[in-house]
Amino acid sequence: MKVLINVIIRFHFVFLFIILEIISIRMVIFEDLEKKNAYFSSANAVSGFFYKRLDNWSAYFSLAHENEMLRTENLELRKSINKNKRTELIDIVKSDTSKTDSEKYTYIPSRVINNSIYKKQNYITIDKGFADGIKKDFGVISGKGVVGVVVAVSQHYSLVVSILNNRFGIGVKVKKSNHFGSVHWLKNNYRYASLFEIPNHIKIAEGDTIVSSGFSSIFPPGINIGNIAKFKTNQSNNFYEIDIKLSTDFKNLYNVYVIDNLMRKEQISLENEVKDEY
Amino acid sequence: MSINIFLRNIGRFIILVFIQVFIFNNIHLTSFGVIPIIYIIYIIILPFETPKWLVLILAFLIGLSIDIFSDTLGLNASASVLIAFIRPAILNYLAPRDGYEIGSFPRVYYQGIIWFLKYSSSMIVIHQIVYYLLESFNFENIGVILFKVIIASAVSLILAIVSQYIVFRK
Repeated sequence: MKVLINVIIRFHFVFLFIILEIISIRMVIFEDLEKKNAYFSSANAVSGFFYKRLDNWSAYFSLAHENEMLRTENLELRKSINKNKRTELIDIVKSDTSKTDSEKYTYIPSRVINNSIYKKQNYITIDKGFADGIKKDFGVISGKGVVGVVVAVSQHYSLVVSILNNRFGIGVKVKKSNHFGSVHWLKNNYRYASLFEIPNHIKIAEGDTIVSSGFSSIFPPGINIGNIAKFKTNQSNNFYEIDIKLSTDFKNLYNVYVIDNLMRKEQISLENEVKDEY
Repeated sequence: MSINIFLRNIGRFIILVFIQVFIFNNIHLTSFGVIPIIYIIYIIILPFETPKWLVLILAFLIGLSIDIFSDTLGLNASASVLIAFIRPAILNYLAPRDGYEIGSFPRVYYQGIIWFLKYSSSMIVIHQIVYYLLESFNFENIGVILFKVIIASAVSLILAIVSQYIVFRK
């Protein structure tokens, strides 16, 4: 025992180094999206406070651009209202039991206070937390399309994993043909992502719109993700290799909406029930 | 005297973390978005007499603080702990024949620009290599990693030297 203590005292520097290095490399490797902790992220109270202050101040410089973006978003919403009115007149006979999308989802407006696009794992901090009703696994969208998913929540701030994160994937479908696949970000370019699992026999073309599939309880179906920029066939596994241009410009991201799915509990409990049985 | 040094070091810690997080984290060089690092100056200019274990712990704490603010959990911490571990060896290697003068610090003013260039460049380059290797976690595009390391190290080294003439003059 005495020898052991002597060894520890003699080599305390090396031991301390090994312990600290193991702790930090463990954090790098096992940094799991599922177990993300708000205290150890930029969504904690201290850093959220300072980022919020900085945003309050720097927001003035982007006001013109933000206004422009909100105006185009308004325009698109106005157009879609007109379209909806027309379709309502056509199918006036509607089943009264199914809930429409507008009843199923609520949206919480929020502001981006910290954002990164050049790392391999990019996260976004927003200025709403559980005090505003945000919980883990809520989807986040911008006026143009999908942004990411909430992974950690503190009282007034939340951490969102953006699509620009190589540990994150999202279920999507081709709008034209309704075939589904998944989008991952592997290219390290903030404008592009990769689309997988679309088999070779399906006809696709450059410019086809990719939207969220709506299978998960996170995003409503039909939210824009991007357009096919280029694709090539891979003969070895019969799937396309597709690059998509993301519709959200992550470099100019100021206002986002957090989506709360009111039927989430029901869907998840049903899915889990079935999973246990079969 | 010693409490004064203690307080000054804590103040320097907080100020460097804030400058790194709120100013330099928003600077993206080249199309790869390389971020210059400035907080490493804290580890570089710790006094010669600082206990080695204390350097390790301080490096870990400053790395972790940067990580928490910029959501890169563990990356800066592991790179900083490694250079804190190598620091005594580098200082030993670069030491003049009769050791460092008592009451001097590892700064340009006391040791000269050539000595400081050798010392800080080796610290910064090792730090950046570890950082970008751990970030990508494979050697897939070694050319890109090398490019990032070179750009980031060069800019950070210039910052470290400029700081010696503006802030840490004595």
